[in-house]
Amino acid sequence: MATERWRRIEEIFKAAIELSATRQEPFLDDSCGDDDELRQTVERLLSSDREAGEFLEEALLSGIELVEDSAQEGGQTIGPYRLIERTGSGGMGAVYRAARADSEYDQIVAIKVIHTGMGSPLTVERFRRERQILAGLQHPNIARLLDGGTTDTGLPYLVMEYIEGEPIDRYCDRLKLSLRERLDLFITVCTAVSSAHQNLVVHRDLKPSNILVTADGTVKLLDFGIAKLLSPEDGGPLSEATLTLERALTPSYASPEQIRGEMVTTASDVYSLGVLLFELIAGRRPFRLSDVTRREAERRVLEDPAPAPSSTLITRRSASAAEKTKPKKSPQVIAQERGMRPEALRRSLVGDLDTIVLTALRKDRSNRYPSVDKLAQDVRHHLDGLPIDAHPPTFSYRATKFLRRNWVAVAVTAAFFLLTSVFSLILVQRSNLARVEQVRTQEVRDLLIEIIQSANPSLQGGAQITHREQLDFSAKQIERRFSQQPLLQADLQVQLVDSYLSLGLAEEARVLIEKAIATRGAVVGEEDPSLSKAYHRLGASYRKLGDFARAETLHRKALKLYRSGSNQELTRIADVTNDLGIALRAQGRWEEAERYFREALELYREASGDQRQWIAVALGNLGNVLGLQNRSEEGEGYLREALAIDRELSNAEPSTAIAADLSLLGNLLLNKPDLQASAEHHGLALSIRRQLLEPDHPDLLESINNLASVHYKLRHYEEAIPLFREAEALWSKKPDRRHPDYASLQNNLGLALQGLGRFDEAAESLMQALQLRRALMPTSPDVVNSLINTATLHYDTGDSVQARDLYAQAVEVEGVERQGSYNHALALAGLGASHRSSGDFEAAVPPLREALEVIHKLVGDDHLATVYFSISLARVLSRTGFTEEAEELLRKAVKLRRQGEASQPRLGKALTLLADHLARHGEAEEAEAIAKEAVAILEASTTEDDPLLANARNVLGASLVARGKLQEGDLLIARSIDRLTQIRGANHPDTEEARARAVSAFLDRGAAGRAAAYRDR
Amino acid sequence: MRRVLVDHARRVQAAKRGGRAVKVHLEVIGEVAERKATDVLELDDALMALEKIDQRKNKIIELRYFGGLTIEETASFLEVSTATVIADARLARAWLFNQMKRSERAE
Repeated sequence: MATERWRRIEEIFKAAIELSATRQEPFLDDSCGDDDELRQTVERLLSSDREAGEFLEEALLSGIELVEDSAQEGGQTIGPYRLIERTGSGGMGAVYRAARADSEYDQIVAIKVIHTGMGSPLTVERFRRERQILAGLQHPNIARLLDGGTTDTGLPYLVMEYIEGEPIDRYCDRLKLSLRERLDLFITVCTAVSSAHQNLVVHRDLKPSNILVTADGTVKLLDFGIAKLLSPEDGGPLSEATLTLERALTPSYASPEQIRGEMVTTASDVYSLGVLLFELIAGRRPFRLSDVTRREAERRVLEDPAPAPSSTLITRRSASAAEKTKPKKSPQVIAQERGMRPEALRRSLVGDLDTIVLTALRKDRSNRYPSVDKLAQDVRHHLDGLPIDAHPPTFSYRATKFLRRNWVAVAVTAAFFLLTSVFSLILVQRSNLARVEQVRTQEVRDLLIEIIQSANPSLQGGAQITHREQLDFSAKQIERRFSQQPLLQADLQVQLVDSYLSLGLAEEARVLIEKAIATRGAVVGEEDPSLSKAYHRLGASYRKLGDFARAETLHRKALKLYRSGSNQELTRIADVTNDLGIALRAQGRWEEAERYFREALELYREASGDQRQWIAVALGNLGNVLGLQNRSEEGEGYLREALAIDRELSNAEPSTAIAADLSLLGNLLLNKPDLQASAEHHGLALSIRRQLLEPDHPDLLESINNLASVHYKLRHYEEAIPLFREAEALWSKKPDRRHPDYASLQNNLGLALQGLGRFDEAAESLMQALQLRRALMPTSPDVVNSLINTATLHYDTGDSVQARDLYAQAVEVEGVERQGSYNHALALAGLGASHRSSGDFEAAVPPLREALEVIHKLVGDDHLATVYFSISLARVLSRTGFTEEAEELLRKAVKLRRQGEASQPRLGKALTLLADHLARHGEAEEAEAIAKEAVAILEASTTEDDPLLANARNVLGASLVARGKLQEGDLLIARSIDRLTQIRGANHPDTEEARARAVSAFLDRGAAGRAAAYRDR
Repeated sequence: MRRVLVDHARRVQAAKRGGRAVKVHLEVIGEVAERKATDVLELDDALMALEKIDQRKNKIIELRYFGGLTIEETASFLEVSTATVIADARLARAWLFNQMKRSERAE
């Protein structure tokens, strides 16, 4: 039949059947026109449509009956068995009760004649082989396969032990078995399945109708391995008919891999048992698969996460229309069938049982219980009140996927696990308190799951949740859920603090820990040893906040409480001793810090167990603090020892501990003249951290910063800047950059950019650092550092006004907070210099005087810094009429620099300033001699690019002019100003001063023309 | 499933036509069986004819009646609407019925 024609017939037929009989006639007239053949065909089909009725069903039924009849046809016997009655017909075929005909006694058997799945290439040989395996299955709870063969009509059949029983689910509900009885029964089922697995037989079709319970309560599993007999040979081609048939099986108990048509293993039985357990305890199956299309049902099994059994027992007030038409058992009925109230049932499922079922139901078979035995064991452990195994996999399974990128969550969860595992100990120790609170580890575990889920973007509508948000969520949950259990609440809060600290959120950590201390303190007293860890962590919070004195106090308190506790754990005491050392080191109290590090080292060595890891930590800190005391050789020894231990511990594989040691060594080597060694160590540390850490890990960022900083010190700005920029890029991915380390990074980047003369970018970075540091802590030393750095940049780029304001702010902060400090002196000196640069010599004098006083007090008379500051002061005194004082200071400076350790360029500079002073005050002859010496020293010790040399030549030029050697002077002056313009820029104070010097020198000699020429340049 | 039934029916029919001597009580069963076999074989022929002119409608009958799928399942399996399945099945059923009636007349 032509396709075109068939389409036309189809079209008319489908339209016609929508019409009433009276309207069909005119419709057919219209659509068929004069094509009589078409009309006849359609009319025939329409009448067949009316007559057909159930003819298809009848034809099909007759076919099935035919097959079944044939089974009996062979003389109502199959092999040696006499058929007694048909007891059922399942998806696979008919089941008969039969008796062995040739037997003296009536052995009743069940015979299954299989008449589906025949479309698959099932060979007689394979059938025989499988049958043999199944016949070997002997277990009191498995219906035995006795015999098998092919009927005369060629249908395979199996003879099995006949079981008179009831499906397990109905049995449990009818007898209203308790949860415990159901679980006992389930364990029996598992034992049987496990024994089959040991014989390498997988059931493949475990469901209540295959698991019968006899009148005397014996469990019997039917149809073991039969599904496999019906499925095509593994790896063989699947015929379409088979696929259709297999798809026709209900997916309710089928594992995802079975639905995908993948290889079926023992894990598939674990899954089906999970569904069974779900149903036995919660009265429902994990997925609602009725009333949906097959495709949707399969999608649910493949994709939807299985709910916790307990969660299906929550009563929903408003049932949807679908649920009304097909009512499910209410939680009340389900609970009643287990002799419980709904809420009590739900509670008994929450925790262990939920976990066990969900572990069995995992989509990926490798994440399920590794065997049915393990599943049964957990159920048994639950019944015996022992901890179940499933928790760690639950944690790691849920966790690994997203926690790999999520180190905070790792910290939180690890802490919780630590807590839950030690919780039983705490209960024993303080049983009276524990009883009051009725604390259950279960609740903690629930919370843990919730927190982990909170961080799972797919459960949060796809939005990426930040570490910070996750922590805040956790903190809120702890506050809300455990308000009735203050001790547990406080313990959890303490656990959470480490995570806040590792994020650098010291303030949040402090708030949380203070809450915890207040809560727990109210119950047990503020001096209770159980608070020692809390004080320890509070100290750590203050340490991170930069309040080292308070950190020290709290660490000392923690130490005292640890030592007073009944349970003196050496390692904890050692931990806090070590941290106390850190707090002292941060305050510059290096000798004391050294003492505590040594003590921590001893404690770790005394403690039992393998403490090498911690010994290495203490050694590292000790080496570090020795380096700070300029005892680099000694310190290096300890650090190398730490490094050796850590290398041994990791079998020479890269480890984070090795990276830490290398990093500390890198810092120590900064004291040595050869900075290259330091750069190498920092480089090694960085490459390990790049390898092992997530890109946003603080230690990795620190390493990048360290290496870049060494490059900076080596003046390798071109190498430092890309590293700083890399760190900046990594930071930019973080949701919150309000962190002291980020401020440091911007500060360092700014300085490196400044070194390369990229002033605009430098100003941007330095300002960013300043603003961030101000926001974090408005009066910290870092803020003053940033103010001075930014001011200096402005000063160097000739913006004296900006520089003066910033220095003034630095003086204000430092003068109040840390009066008399080195930074105080620096800020004062900077303020004076900016006044001088803007021509206000009078205003420059007081700050420069104060700066000199401060520095003198700090470092003494003949220190390089003192000389430097006196020179600065002398420069302005020289211009404000304090001629003698200026000259005295300058001569003293030159003298000190001649005999001291000062570098030659510095001596050159002092000489230049003295020559300048003398030239201005009519001592031209001596000025010329001194300036000549300055130029000679600088020519020998520095390069042509050095502004010091240009300045010296400028001063020499002016001295020569003053001595009347106009041409010689003019030449030197012109060249020096060109050079300064080139190096410093036309507007730099040095350049302007050089020009002003030339102008006044020529004016003094009456050479107005030359003076004007320089003024106008 | 369809193949199983059809093959089986063929074997039954072949045996009957062979005129094997059978006991009376089995003969009764045998007669019924023969009629059933005829039905199945006729349906099979009709379905093969249908497959030639319209594969999809043939598939729908197989899935619905031999595979035991519901209308919704058949629709989702073939990725067509349920309305299409219903209308197609109705036309196919009418066509098959007509076809089998015709073969009846022809005999």
